[in-house]
Amino acid sequence: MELEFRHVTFVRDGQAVLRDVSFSVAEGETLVLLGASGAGKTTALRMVNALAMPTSGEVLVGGKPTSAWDLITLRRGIGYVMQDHGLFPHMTVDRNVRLGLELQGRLPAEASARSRALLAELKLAPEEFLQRYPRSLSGGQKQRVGIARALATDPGLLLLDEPFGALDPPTRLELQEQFLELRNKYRKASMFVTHDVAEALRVATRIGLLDGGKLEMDVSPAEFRQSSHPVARSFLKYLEM
Amino acid sequence: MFPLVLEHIWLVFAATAIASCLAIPVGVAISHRPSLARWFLSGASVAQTVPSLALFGFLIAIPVVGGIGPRPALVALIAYALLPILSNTVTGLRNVDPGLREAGLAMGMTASQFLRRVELPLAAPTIVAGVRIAAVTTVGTAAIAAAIGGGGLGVLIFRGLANVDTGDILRGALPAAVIAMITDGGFSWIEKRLSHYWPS
Repeated sequence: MELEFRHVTFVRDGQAVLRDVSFSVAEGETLVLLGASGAGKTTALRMVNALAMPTSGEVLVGGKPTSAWDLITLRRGIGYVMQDHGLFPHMTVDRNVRLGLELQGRLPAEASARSRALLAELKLAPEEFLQRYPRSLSGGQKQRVGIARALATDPGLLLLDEPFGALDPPTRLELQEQFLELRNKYRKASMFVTHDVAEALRVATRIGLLDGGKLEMDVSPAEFRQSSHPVARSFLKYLEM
Repeated sequence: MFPLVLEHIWLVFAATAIASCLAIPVGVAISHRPSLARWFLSGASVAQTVPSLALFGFLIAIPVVGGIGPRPALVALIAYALLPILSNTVTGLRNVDPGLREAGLAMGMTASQFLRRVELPLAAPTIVAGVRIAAVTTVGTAAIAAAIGGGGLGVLIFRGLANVDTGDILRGALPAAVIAMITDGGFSWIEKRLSHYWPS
């Protein structure tokens, strides 16, 4: 499912959070929105599943403006991975993963098989993890479950909001690898938010640089590395340290 | 004495059950409406501030729900039990992590699905704590219900006080204390069971 932002502006409390932002993401692509805190990255992400609506302009999902979608249908067709995983603490890993399928009214046997398959794919042995509660998992394991939950309904679009931001560097690297494997396998359009330039260069097919709510550039990782844009340079300087 | 113990337990059970049936749905309905919640909680607080003996006496003069006997006693006990259950229901639901609310919305849950699948289970330990406080308090307040013919262990306590008979007073007070402790322990156990998934 493709995604498009057309001249999107978002104003909150009289202040423009996003200013005339336009881009599109095709199937199989990962657009990484890179920017400092407060640049408008998460707001842009929240507009895709209509957790926020544009003040002007349009966000199109599957060619249809989000305002024209039934919100429940729209959201059930989009996988969302949050920085703090957003797992429900009173549900086992199995119930967390299959919840989206249950909401769609899928049969328990189908939901159960999907949950087991996804956990195995994310290197969490089902027999060990299915019945565990989120409190007993490490940060990396929680995030894996979060990814499994986002993929469970086979969504057309994947949103990732600083998904590996709270993880230690080795786990972060491992999960980035897994994300790339999954992307190559499932070929979903994905929008990935981060402020880590190394992560952006690693997982992106395109990098969108947001600064003060403006999309300063929308380029390939190779082009980003060569960019002379001052904000891009300030991010790249971090790599040279 | 045994019939009085049973009568006392029945009063506590009926008052707590009816108060729960009233306060929990109201708490759910008002939890995300702050101004409405303020009104309801203020109303329940007012009922709580009236001294119990005065409320029992006041009810004698009220037609239909008032008078003498177990019915007005039950009405007063319900009024007392409402506040802790209502306020804990509101608090429990309001304390659900906003991040989980966002996760639920993003997954495409409807408001009622989120309430049933996430909010109520997460708020359950707090709600049960409210019911526990209400039940334990009602055990004590029910003893005063004997002043208007409500029955229960208060009959023994009031008789003991009138006759200056310590034996009667203890025969009323000790079982009431045991009922209160068992009630507290039982609800505490349920609370713990419901919150077993939280990090310790």
